[in-house]
Amino acid sequence: MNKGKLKVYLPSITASIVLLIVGQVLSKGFASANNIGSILTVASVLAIASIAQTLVILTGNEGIDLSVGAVMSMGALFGPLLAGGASSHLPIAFLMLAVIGGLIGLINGIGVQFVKIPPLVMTLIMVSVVNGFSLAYTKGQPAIQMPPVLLEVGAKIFGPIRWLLIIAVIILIIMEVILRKSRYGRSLYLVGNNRRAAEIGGIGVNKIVILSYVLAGIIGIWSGCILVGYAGSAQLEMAKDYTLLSIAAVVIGGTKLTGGEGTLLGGVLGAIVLTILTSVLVAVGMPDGVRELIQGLTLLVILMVYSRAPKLRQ
Amino acid sequence: MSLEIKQLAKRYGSVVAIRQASLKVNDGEVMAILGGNGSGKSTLAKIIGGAVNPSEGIITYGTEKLQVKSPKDAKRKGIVITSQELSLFDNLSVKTNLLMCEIPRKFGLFVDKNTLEKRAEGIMGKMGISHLLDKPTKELAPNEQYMVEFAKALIQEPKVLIIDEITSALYREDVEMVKNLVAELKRKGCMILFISHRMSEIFSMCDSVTVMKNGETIGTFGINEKSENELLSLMTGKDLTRVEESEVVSHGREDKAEMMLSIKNLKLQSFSKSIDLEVRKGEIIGVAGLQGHGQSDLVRTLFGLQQHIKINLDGKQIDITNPYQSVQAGLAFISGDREREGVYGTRSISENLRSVKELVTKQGDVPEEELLKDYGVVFNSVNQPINTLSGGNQQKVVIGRWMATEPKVVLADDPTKGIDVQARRDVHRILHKLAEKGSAVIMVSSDDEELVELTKRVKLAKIIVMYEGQISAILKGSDITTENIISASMPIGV
Repeated sequence: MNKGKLKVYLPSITASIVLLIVGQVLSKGFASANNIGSILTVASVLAIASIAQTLVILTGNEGIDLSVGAVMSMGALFGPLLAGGASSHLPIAFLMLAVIGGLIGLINGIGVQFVKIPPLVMTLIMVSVVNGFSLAYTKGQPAIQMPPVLLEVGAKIFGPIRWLLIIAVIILIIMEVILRKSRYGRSLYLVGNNRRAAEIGGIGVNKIVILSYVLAGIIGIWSGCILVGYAGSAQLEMAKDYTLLSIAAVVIGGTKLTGGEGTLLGGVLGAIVLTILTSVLVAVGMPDGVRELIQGLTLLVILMVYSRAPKLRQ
Repeated sequence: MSLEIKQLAKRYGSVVAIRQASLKVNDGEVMAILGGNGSGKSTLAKIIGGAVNPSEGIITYGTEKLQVKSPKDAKRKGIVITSQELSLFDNLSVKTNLLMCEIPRKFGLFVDKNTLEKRAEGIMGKMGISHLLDKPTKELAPNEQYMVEFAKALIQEPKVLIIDEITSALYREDVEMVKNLVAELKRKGCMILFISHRMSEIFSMCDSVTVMKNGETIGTFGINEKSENELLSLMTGKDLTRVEESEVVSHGREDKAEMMLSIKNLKLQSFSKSIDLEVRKGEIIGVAGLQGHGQSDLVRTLFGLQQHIKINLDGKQIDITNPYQSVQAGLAFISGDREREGVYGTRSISENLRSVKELVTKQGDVPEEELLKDYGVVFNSVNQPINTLSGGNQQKVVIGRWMATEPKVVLADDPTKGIDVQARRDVHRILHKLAEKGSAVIMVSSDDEELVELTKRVKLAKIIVMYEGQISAILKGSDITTENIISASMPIGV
């Protein structure tokens, strides 16, 4: 990696440090190892969601996945359900989740690539399909038994480090390697950068784009299942906030909303920044409404700063 | 009146776009500005047109010192730029686009639409494109859009007109029109700066030529003072006069060579008649013709961009429905529209170069440094984004991407559009080399001279001229001349 690429991470790293200092000033113990450990744990779920989001945004052509939150909520409900509350059934539950998440992604991808529905609309429709399915299946009253092992994701391994963080790091490393080294990953950047050129260059554009939606579906639904393990109990639509947050995290991390440019690590750092921000607001005892207002305004400012078009005049 | 530029310089941070430029144009003078890509021509044009502020230097217009604050300000002073960067609104009609130039005004306040409309109709009529007036701009062919862009400049009745490379997107009959209009402006006393890579246009339209190299004006010469090769030497700094003359014209017999690609009864979309085409191994075929007669459709169809076709390639019958299949079969496609169809702009040179061989045809590693050096691409690191290179070098990287796969047939659709003469020669050399190894090349060009130049130094070559989706003539050997191409492009009695 050269210096120019590292520069992309500078804003999120700086923001993290500044926020930590602000937090420490406002509330003692904020920057303690223990608190940082729990901040990172909370950030892990958003980090995984932002990895899914990055894959779709990288495809370009206004690619965006608004169904991430709904798919995660579904994973939170159906993960424990499929395992039937038994830890031994978890692997098979994860496999079945992958099939469901992959299928959702496949439908998104086909809708976008072949039916030519704008990604924004396609994935928004998917939100109500997925939520409707969950609601219909559970009749609005999810009675869910948690597999004990799943509840362990929030347990400490050593010091302030918890399993959830390790899982996020492993997913990050695997996906980052896939993006940089595999034919799929390298083609994805080219497809997002100039789709017409990629087509002419013989790259199977449809395959690449659809695969991105499928992977996003799988990673999304898994992260929902991990989230419920950390939260301890499942609710309908419990992860709906993650859609917008994941987009914000990806943008903060330097990924271009126009596609073809950005890294997974960037999105993960963005997730950390957003989580620290929330923690600071909680730590100073900000009322819920004000907190949400500040978060919303912050996202607005961030999106305006990062997405502005390059100046016309040189 | 005259426009004089003295010691002009423009720097972007540490990057120098113009080191030192001086020139002087008089009323009724048509001056060409000639230079390689990146020599500073377009920057100079933008400075005069007010789109860019100079870092240093003085521009005087008549007796007063000229300070142009913005393109709008420039227009008020009668300076109009028409350039390769279109300024048209896609979703509006041509007429609305033309009426948007804001002049003339009634009482200095309101736009006088009637006068303007009449003027627009008059000019479009003169250019023979009045039928385009009510069409939405996005439905126009690229060359038609450039004609409208040019019309837009004329409507403003410029005193100083800067034509920045619009002719490279135009076909021959359009260029004739531009020539006539320029001559008319000249008679009216307008001064014209003409930027083009086409020598024949410069020699037939201009009174003088200013040569630029590496951001500096080398000098201004009367049009008859220097030969084409002398000008090229000045702008490249290399002595090109001898190379040209040592070339031998000797065409071999084509029936000895094996067949590479053949197709029968190919019906191009939007044309009623069909064509047969045979291409031999090692053969270079230039495709000529008037705009819109199917040249571009031919190469695009062969690459699988337009319809499902069956071709015979290297002894095998194959089906082609999309570029993925054609690339796997050993075809390559170089588009002249490199921004849209060629480069991955913000990705690295390396990624751009490796994109086909490693990701699609899966033939393994690309010797990138070696290839780039061979093509004369100037670069610091293969990791720098490709859009930091000049246009010509970008196109060479795109070509290199295909050459690395050793394609059987290269299809090229005006691949040297808008790149400088030196880069164009490099491109020809690359294609010649490939043909020597036994591959075939089918290249479309809107510049007949280029096709003559491309095919005359090759053992096995011909030019096919297209008319209404058919091949109206096949020129070989000494028949390959621009005159023959022109007469075959407009067959009489068809």
